[in-house]
Amino acid sequence: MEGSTHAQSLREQAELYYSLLSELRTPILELKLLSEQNKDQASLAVAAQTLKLFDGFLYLQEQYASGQQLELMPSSIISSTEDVLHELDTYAKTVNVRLLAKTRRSKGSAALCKPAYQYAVYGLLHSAITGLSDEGGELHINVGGTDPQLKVYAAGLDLRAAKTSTGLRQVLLPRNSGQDTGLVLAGQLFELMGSGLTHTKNQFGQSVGVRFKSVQQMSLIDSLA
Amino acid sequence: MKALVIDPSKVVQDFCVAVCSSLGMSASTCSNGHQAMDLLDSGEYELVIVNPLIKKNSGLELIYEANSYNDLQGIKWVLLADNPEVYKANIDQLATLGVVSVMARTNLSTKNLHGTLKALVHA
Repeated sequence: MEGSTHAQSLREQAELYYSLLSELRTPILELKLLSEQNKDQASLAVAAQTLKLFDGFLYLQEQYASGQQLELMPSSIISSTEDVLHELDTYAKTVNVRLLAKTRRSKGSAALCKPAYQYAVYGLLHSAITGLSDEGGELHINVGGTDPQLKVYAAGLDLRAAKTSTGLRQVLLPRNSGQDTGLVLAGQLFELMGSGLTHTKNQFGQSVGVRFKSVQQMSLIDSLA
Repeated sequence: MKALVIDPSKVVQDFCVAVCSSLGMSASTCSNGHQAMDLLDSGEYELVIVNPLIKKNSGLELIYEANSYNDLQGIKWVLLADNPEVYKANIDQLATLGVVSVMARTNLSTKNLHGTLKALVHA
């Protein structure tokens, strides 16, 4: 009985945060529109990226609430990533970060849920760009390959939050800078697509990557099921 | 072409009016369904940009109500929605009511709105 009351209270809390996030988009949208009217490209870029993160968290919450698995469809990981890179370009320039994308052609398509993938990549790159924004720098993004994958790295970038992909509470603390917010969103969404983020640290710095099933692998799994 | 912009946010209203003006259209604004119906009653408006989540009758109720009057059935409606996917999934049904476009409110920009309205003006 106590358990069900607790569950209900958590559900109500989740609904409250969902509504709050949803409603807070309006003041941010207003900032974005005012920035555009005042031709303030930097404020416009920051407001637009913040709105996109809000949209991503709302999308994630809707997926949790639906309780259904994401439908993975054959998609081009390269073009899905390029769309996001294009959208983030102005923001990156604003904070003096260069996006250096390298693509390796894939033989087949990746099994992706495109909206989830794009929100996740958006979150991941947003965190990485924010992490470099103190001093500027170059952010390397490798995408594609026979086993479709995405890898992000840069010298001097702290991506440790990717290691705690299972718990939002472990990373999103009230006194944090907010830099890891997008990384957490990415971790959760990639997990929903059955692909966890991998964090690597070596002498060149830190990187995070995510590998997806190719469509050929998906058909094999389906045929064995 | 005269337009009506219905959204709870004054900033969003003014932004849409500025884009309408850049296309040579005059535009009025209001923030809820009752005010909107009063303005539509004048029969002056050919285009309405509406946020479905307005107060005092939702945007969809407003569209249904306007369609119940013969003289308001030719209005073109553009939905400015926070959750556009919901409306896009029902676009065929909405099209029968005069809805010609569903735009993501959070993606609102001069370029997006200008493009949508320009296509309607020249249609």
